Amino acid sequence: MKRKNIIFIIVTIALALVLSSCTMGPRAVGTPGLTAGEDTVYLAFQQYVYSVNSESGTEVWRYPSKGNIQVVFYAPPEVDGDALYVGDLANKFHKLNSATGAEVWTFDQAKGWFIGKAKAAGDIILAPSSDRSLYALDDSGSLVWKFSKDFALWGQPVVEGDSVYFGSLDHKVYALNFQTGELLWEVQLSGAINASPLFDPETGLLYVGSLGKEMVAINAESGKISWSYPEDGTISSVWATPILQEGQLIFADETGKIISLDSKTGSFNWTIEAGAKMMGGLLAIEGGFVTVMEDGTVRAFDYERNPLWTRTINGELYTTPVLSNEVIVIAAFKSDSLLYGFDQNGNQIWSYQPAK
Amino acid sequence: MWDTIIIQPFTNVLLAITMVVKNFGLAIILFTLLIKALTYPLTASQLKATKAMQGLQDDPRYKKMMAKYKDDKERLAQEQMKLYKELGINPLGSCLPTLIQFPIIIGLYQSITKAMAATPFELLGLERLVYNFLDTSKVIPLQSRFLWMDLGQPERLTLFGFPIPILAIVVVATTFLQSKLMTPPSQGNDQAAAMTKSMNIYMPLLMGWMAYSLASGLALYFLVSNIATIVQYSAQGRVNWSNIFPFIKDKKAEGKPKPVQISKTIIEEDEDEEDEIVVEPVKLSKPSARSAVKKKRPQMKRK
Repeated sequence: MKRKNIIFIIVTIALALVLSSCTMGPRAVGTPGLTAGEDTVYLAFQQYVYSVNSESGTEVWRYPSKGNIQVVFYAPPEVDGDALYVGDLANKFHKLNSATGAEVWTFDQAKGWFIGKAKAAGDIILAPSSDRSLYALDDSGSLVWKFSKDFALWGQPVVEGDSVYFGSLDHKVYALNFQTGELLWEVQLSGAINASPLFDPETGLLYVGSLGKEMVAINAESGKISWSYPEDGTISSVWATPILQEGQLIFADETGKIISLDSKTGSFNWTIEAGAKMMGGLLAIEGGFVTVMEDGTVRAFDYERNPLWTRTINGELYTTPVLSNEVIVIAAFKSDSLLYGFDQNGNQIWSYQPAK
Repeated sequence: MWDTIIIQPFTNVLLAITMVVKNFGLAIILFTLLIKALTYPLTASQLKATKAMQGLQDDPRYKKMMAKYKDDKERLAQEQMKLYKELGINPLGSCLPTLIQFPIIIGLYQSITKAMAATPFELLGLERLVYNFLDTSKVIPLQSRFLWMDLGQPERLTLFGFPIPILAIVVVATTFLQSKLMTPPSQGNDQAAAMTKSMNIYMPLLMGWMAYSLASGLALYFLVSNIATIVQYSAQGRVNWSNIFPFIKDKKAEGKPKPVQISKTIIEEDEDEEDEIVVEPVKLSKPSARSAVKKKRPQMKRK
């Protein structure tokens, strides 16, 4: 074969690889998915799911033992006793042994990626998928029912009594019968819903933030909107689930504005400019809450909005922090370490970077 | 810089089209056609330059210098440059428009990829690309269903229980068709012909592999782009249907002149001027139907 021919073929292949590099291998860019167990945190990131001791920051196990570039994990795992449920970007949903990381079963009937966190309730596991379906599986991994709509599901469902509540990228919140998957009601919001709703048993309200720059309270029984904030559109997109503390509903918008509302009426209490963009949610700790920001800043405030402490991590923070064994665990993106452990006074205890 | 100049405007136009037509698949098609239309002057300029370069290879002076200086590359290059200058041909004229189009094609590809944000992090990136005056909270995320496809996933159509990659097959077919139709008539240059032959085989396979493995929104773009390119070339009269339909070749080849020995004066068939050039006898390779027709045209005019 002539030299020019060989050069031409090499250049063509290189061009194809350059063009396809964004979507081959780990075919999407995602941020770490983090969940807390009692004395362990579980992290889904790229080719592995990791189990890390939250007291020492040491790795307990990883799944699979040898990573596959075609199998990528971003969905936060759901831990339920000795079971751990996590979906991947190869359209498969796995049940693992949470103590050992051994695979128990795999569900492979989905036609889209698993981005959202699953929810285990009794013997049913609810797995939201990007193929626009919510899958209800039994303890053996068999399909019990499936509910499909028009857009991907990225948020963890909430189970309360006989009802399942979840938001969708189609701008709607749905309520289903938990046993049958039958639609109870649906309500339209202004934007796509990325996060899980928060249910308040005291008020019977579901709190849902959307990318339509709003926080909405919905009556879980009737599906009617109880209140919506703000009325004049002064906040930005809401990416994460709010927290509820002492009658205050607290959440952050994308610009880094932290807002406190009265959970019953939606009336405004106070706001804090956190100082940087925020996608991750807030973590309630003793006497206050912790926020993580895109620029690597970690800040803690009390409920009177007084700052408690500030730390900086070299990296970007998009994942909602978790509390395990009294340790605040933060997952970092583009950082020297994947996980950081802090005590509740903001002192760093450990960091964890997976061995290659 | 790249994002600001190329990706951001492209993505916003794509989203704006989606907001109007309310269908992302249709928006990809319209956006690809829009970009093709906007870059048409570059394509036309490239075609013109390519045509001039191809015509040059029939020029007896060119053939003579190729033979004369075949062992002296430096001198050959000097003589070629002289001839280019004399005939007013820019040797970069055929590749410069391609180079200018290249970032546009890459930008188009990347903007489609960005618009199909498949994770919350990618959606955050898309949200930040959108200009303030577009109220995209109503359109984001994009509805990725189009016909039987999920534009964010590789395409498969299940027929009789088998997932068939229809779009990838059509992309292979149209890329092959495009390559064949745009292959110029053989100039008797073995190396160039071999290169073209390789391209006709490898390019469709590569495009097919990409269409098979990438999100179907991108495969849709490949398909529309292929069809638009064929139409553009066809409008310029640069499509060689005889490469696909041999009977067209046979028809055109009727009355084809026999290969001749150029032994004395050849009238240079230039649009603006006619030069008289005396050349040494050169054995011409068998002319193709197209070049035969081209050579015949001026003689007919003179009659």
